[in-house]
Amino acid sequence: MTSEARFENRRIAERAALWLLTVQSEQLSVSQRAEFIDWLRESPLHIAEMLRVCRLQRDLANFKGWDQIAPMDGGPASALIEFFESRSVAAAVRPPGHRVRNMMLLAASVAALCVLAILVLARFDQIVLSTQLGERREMTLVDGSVVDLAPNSEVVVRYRARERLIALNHGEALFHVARNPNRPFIVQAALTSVRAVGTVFNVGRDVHGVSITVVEGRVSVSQRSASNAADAPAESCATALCLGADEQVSISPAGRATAVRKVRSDAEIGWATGRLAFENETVAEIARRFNLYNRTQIQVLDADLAARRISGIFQASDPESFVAFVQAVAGAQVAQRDSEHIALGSPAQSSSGDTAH
Amino acid sequence: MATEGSPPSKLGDLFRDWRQPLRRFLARRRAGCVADIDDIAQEVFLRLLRYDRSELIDFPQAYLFKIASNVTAEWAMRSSRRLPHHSEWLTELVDALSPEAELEREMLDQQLRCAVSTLPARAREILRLHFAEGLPHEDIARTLGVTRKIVKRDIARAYASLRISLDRNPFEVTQREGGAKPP
Repeated sequence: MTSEARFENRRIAERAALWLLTVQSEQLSVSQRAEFIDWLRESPLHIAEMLRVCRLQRDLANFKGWDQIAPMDGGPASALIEFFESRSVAAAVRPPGHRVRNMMLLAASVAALCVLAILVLARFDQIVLSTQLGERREMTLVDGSVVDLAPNSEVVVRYRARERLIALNHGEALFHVARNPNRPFIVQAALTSVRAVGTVFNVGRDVHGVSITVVEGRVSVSQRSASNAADAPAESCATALCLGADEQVSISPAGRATAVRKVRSDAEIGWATGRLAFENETVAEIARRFNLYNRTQIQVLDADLAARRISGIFQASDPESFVAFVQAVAGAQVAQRDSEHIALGSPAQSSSGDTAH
Repeated sequence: MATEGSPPSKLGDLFRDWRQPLRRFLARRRAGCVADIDDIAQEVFLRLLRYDRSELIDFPQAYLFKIASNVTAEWAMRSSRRLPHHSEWLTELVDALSPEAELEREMLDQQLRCAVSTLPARAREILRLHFAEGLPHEDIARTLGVTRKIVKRDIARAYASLRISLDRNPFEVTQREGGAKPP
């Protein structure tokens, strides 16, 4: 833990303790209640800290050893020594006859060391997964989570003991998150963080920003400001957004989020099953998406046609079906064609007799 | 916890309002379970965001603990159904007097004793007066000749120190180390 992080933890812990004491000892005014609820809604860390401090208070109330606590005149130095001694040799302050328990303690600490070793190893676990044009990869990660990587995409997987971090460098990916109570799953794309516990969601990143679609479960989306981009995401999610199933949000490179949209998520993530679904999308954009998946590249020559909006579901590996669709619906003509290239033009531009259905 | 009796009423009514699952959940503090609090908190957080702020303002603490109770209960049910190995904390609590629970209780006592001993002298005395002798903050302030505000502040700081030293399991330092990494 860095010293700043430790300081921050301590600050939150103190704040939580103050709130607990305040809530217990006095009637809160309206403004205090507002402040309290806003503080709670600022970060899951604040809530965790509230729960921890409640637990601590409960433990203190059940604690039976007050008579063994040195009274006020007992110097802090002796207390410190006792602290270290009792940590290292638990037997010192224990009455005899507890040998079995001491053995168990020992066993527990040996087990803890082993876990520690594994966690240290896990820290260096960093995997880069990427795809080329026309390539789609599905990978199962060590925890059982599955990443579907769209063409021309790259993610970096960094698993830590307490969190699973994925950076989406570019492109699009669908995450099936294996539920793990101990390690939240966090996808970072540009300055946006998507945090989940166990769910299915899709994150896309391109020049227009970041788009998040939830298929199943819930995620929280937060945004770091560019100035403190190095902060840990959870620490700085002052403006977290909650996204449920079939909901989608887009965030501009400047960090502005659109309103949450209801979408048909199965269509949105159709790419992962080899389907591409478009709703009111421009022909240019659809062609671009097809081009990601196929060696055969579609070129839209006519500006009007490129701007034309259509809807439909296509097989990603079958650009011909899209070409046929545009021909039928928009009256486009194939201006040029060879084995790796289809150029679409308006009817006026077309050379006739070249259309293959 | 060995005894599931209600805590002294002098601590306020907060705990009594909690439903069993949350109380039981919080009673656990074995290393493996520590992180569960983060998970519960995450879910509570998401639910709190879904509520209307004006609604929450009426009883913030009640909402907080109610939601936390619900989440914990659902969690326990879900984990016992889907992930049998995660439900151990629940089943163990039913069998609260198991040797393991007793051991855990004893370890906690031990840890508390150590942690409390490292507090500044006045904070230690304030906690002792409060928890062992049941004095309210006013009386503690009078006994020690300080203001109520100082008593409250000392307790809050002591809670923060204790909670950090108690929950610091051996792994945490390593785990958090890379926390503030560049993206």
